[in-house]
Amino acid sequence: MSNTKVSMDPKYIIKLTVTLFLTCVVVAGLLGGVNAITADKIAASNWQKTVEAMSAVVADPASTNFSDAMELTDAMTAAATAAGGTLDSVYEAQVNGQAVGYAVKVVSSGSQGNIEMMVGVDTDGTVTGVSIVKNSETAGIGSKVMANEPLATGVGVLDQFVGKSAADGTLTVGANVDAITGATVSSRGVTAGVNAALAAAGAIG
Amino acid sequence: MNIGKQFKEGLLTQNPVLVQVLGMCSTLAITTSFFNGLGMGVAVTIILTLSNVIISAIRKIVPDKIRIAMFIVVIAGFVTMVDLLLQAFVPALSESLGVFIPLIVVNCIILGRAEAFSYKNGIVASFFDGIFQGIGYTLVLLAMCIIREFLGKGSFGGGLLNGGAGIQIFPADYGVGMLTLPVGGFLTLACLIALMQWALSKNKK
Amino acid sequence: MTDYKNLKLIATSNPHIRNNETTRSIMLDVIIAMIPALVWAIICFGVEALILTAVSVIGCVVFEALYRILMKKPQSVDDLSAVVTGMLLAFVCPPTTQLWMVLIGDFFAIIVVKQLFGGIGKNFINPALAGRAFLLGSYAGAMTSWVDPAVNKAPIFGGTVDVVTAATPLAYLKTGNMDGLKEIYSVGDMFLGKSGGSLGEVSALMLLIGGVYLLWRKVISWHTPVAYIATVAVLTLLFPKAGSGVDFMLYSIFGGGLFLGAFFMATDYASSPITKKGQLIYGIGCGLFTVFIRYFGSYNEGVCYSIMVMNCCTALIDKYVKPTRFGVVKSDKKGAAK
Repeated sequence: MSNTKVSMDPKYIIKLTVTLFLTCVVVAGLLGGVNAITADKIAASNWQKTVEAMSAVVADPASTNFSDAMELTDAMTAAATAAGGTLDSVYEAQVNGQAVGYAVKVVSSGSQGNIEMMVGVDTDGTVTGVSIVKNSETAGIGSKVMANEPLATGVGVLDQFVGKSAADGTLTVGANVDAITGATVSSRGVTAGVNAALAAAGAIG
Repeated sequence: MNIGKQFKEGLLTQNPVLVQVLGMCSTLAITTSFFNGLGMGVAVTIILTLSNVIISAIRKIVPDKIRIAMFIVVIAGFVTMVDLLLQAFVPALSESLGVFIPLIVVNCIILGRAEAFSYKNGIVASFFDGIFQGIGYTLVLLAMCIIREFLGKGSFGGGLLNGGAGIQIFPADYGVGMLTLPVGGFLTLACLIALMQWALSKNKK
Repeated sequence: MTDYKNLKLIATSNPHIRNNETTRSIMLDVIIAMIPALVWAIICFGVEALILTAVSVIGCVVFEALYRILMKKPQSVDDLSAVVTGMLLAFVCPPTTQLWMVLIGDFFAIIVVKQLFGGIGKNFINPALAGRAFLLGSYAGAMTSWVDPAVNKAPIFGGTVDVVTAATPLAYLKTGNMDGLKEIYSVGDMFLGKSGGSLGEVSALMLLIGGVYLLWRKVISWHTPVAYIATVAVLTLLFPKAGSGVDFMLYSIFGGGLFLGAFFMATDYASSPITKKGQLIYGIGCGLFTVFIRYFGSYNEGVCYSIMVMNCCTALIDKYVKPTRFGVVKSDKKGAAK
C-alpha cells in the first residue's frame, strides 16, 4: 500500500456528498411510492399463503379462523430449541371465536438443509396435522418424507404424527415414529420439528 | 453506433453469460424451470435497460470518484421496485426466484454494462445495449432451463404451461435428477460455454 | 495429436526405465484382476450381475468409439481403458440397477468426464466414480436400495426371484448398531462377501486377490491402497462408534467399497499423484475423508466421494511433493529454488 496523502478540495468533497445524498433521496422517494402501492397486496398474499399452510394442519379447516402471529415468549423459544427445532411463529386457531389449538411454524434441520414445517397442535397438546412448507431434501429419498408417502403400515409418514401428544414422551424415530427406508435423516428432521412444536405449544400460557 | 453490431454482440460474440461469464450466481441457481428462467431473464432485461438509460443520462453530472456508488444506488432502486412489484402481482414467480431477485443488485451484468458501456455512450445506444444484453442473458437462461428441465425431469415449460406442471415428455422417474440440482447447473453451463467457444473459434477460422 | 497406442506408458516420476508395458497391457491386467470379483458377483447376485457389467462395458466402448469418430480423433477403444471404466462403473452400482441407468452413467463417465477433457490420461477424476456419483445424484432411491445376496441368489443357487431389499452393513455401522450387524453377518461373511452392497464390492477376499495380482504385475504400487486401508483401519480402531475397536475396524474395512476403491479406483494413473510420497499422502487423505463421511456425513458410504475429493487434490500434491533431483550440487539447488 502506498502512503501518499490524498489531497482533496473540501468543496469537491461537499459536492460528492451532496450529489450522492440527492440521488439517494430521489431513489428512496420513488421506492416509497412503489411500496405504498404494493404493501397491502404483498401482506395479503403472504397471509393467504400462511393460512393455506395452517388450514392443512387443523382438524376442521372450513370453520377455523386464525389469529395474527402471537408474541413469542422466551419460554416457548427455549422449549422449542431444547427439543431440537427453531420456533418461527405461532398462530392461534379459533372456531367461533373459541381457541381450539395452535398452528406452530418450526424449522428443523434435515439431511440437505432446513425443513420449514407447520404443525397443528390442539389445546390438549395433541398433534392435529403436519405439513411441510419448505425443504431441500434429496429427490427420491428425503422427498418421500416431504411428500407424505405411505409407510409400510399404509399411513402417510407425516400423518403418523396425528394424535401423538406430549404424553407420548419425546418422539423418536425407531421407537414411536416410523421412518421411510433410506430416509432416516429426513424422518428424524421432521420428528425433531414435531417435538419442538409440541414443546412450544406446551409452553404457551 | 451500429444497432446490428450491438445485437450480434449481445446475443453471440459478447454474450454476457457465455462469453463475458457474468451473472453466474443467478444463472446457476434459478434455471430449473422454464418459468423461472423467463421471469428472471425478463426482470434482468428490464432492470438492465432502465439502469443503462438512467446511468447514460446522468453520466455527465456524475463525479468520477463516486460513480460506482451512484450506479449501485440507481440499480438497487430499480431492483427493489421490481422485487416489490413481483411480490405484489406475480407472487408465484417471486416465491420461486426467492432471494435471487434482490441479488440482481449485485448481478455483474448490470454493473458491468454500466461501467463498460452506458457510462461512456449515449442514451439510445445504452438503451439498445440493455435490451440486447438482456436478451442474450435471457436466451442462455432459457436454454439452460430447457436442457435441465427436459433431461432432469422430462418436462417442458414448467411453471408456465399445463397449469404450472409443464408438459411431461417422458416420465419424471427416468429423468437425470442431478441436472436439477445445483451441480447440474454447473455441468450444463460448462457444456454450453464449451459449445459457444467452439462455435466462435470455428467461426473465426 | 499424440498417438496413444504407440506411447509407452510412464506412470512414475523420474528416473525412467523403458519397458514393454503399453496402456493396453496394463488395462488387460486390470481386467484380469477384476475377474474374481465379477465371478463372485455372478454367484451372489445371479446372471443379472453379468448382464449389468456387460451392458456397462458395451456402453462405455460404444460411447468412446462414437465420440472419437464424431470428433475425428484417432480411435482409442482398443487400449481397453473404456472396458475397465465400464466394469468399474458396474461394480459400484447396486446389482438391481436398471440397465438404462447404467448407460446414463457410462455416458457421463466416458463423454463428459473422460473425452471432453481430452481422453485417456487427461481426466482429472476417476470416470467410473464420477459416473457413480452422477447416478447417485440422479437416482438416489434406486442407487441406495440393496439386495441381500443370502436371500436373493440367482434361481440356480436356490434363491428367490423376488428382490428383497436389505440394509447394508454400512447402514448398521452408521447408526452404531453393532449387535444387530453381528446377528446378520459374521466378520467372515463380510470378508468372503456374503453381505449386501454394490455389485463388485461385496467380497473383500476376491478384491484382495485382484489387488495382489496387480501388485505382483507391478501395475500398481502398494503405497496408495495400503495407506488408504491402514488409515481407515487405524481411525476405526481408535474411535469405534460402538462395540470393541477391533470388531468395528474389521467390519469397517471389509464393508462397503473400501477394497474396491483402494485397489482399483484410487490407483487410477491419470487422477492420482505420481510420486510414492505423494501417493502415501493421497491414500491417507482418502482414508480420512472416507471415515469422516461414514461417521459424520449423511451418506453411509464415503469411498466414492473421498477418492473424488482427493483426485481434485492430486495436482496440488504433485506440486508440493517433488522427487529429489539428482546431480545437482547445493549451490545449484539454491539457485533453482529461487
